[in-house]
Amino acid sequence: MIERRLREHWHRQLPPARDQAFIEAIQQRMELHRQRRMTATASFATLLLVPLALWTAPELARALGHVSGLALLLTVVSLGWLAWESASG
Amino acid sequence: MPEHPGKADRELLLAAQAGSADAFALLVRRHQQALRGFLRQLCGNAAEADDLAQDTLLIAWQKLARADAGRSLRPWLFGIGYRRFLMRHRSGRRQQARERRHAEQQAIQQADPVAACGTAGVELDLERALLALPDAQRAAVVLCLGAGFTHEEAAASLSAPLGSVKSWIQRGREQLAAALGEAS
Repeated sequence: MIERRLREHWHRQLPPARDQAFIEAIQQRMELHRQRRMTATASFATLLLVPLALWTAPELARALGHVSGLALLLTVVSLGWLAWESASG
Repeated sequence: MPEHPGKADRELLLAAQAGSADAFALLVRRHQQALRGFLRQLCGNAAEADDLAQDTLLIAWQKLARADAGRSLRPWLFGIGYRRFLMRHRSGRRQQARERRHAEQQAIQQADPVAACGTAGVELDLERALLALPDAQRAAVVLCLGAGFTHEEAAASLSAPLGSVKSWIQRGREQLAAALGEAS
């Protein structure tokens, strides 16, 4: 019967019930993911805080000048985005 | 060493959702074997299946808050695995390679009457027959006839209506029986 053969096949191809290497690999990936999330959160906070600082401190923005201020903003956005992408990828 | 060796999945899930890494580790220990078995039968390749299983467990850990502690954990976990499998599989290359291998095998059998007669009396390759089934059919057959899922659990895993799952199992069983030369 097909059912019996499928059940036998299922049990034959099961990996070990206690596969320490597999468990450790998962734990390492979880830890790596946790570190990446922390990096990404820090990058994202920077991405938000720098434009906010420029906006809330008009004298700083004036000192930087419109063109350089815009360039700085774009640079920060680009760097933040790159950091976010690399950290979450 | 995990702190919750005797606890049920529900209690472990609640503890893991509250931030216990030990509880999640114990859930991984409990379910990794069946999850990998399921993915091995979907992929037909142990290394690829184990890689998918790791992805699945990592996603489960990230999305733990979405798991419903009032329901069985298995369908939710296997559902993540199935969707990950489909995402990779739909890149197309593996499917094409498998179909090409299957077509080549059929061509060899049709071209060689001795081999074709021989296969009628000997054990046919169940794995190859399973891999020839469409993805959803194969998943439903493996879950219900191999892993012992109920139809309802399989429907939850595959995000499919119950009627579709029953029909996939029926059709899958018939196709396997035909491929293996057995009564369904």
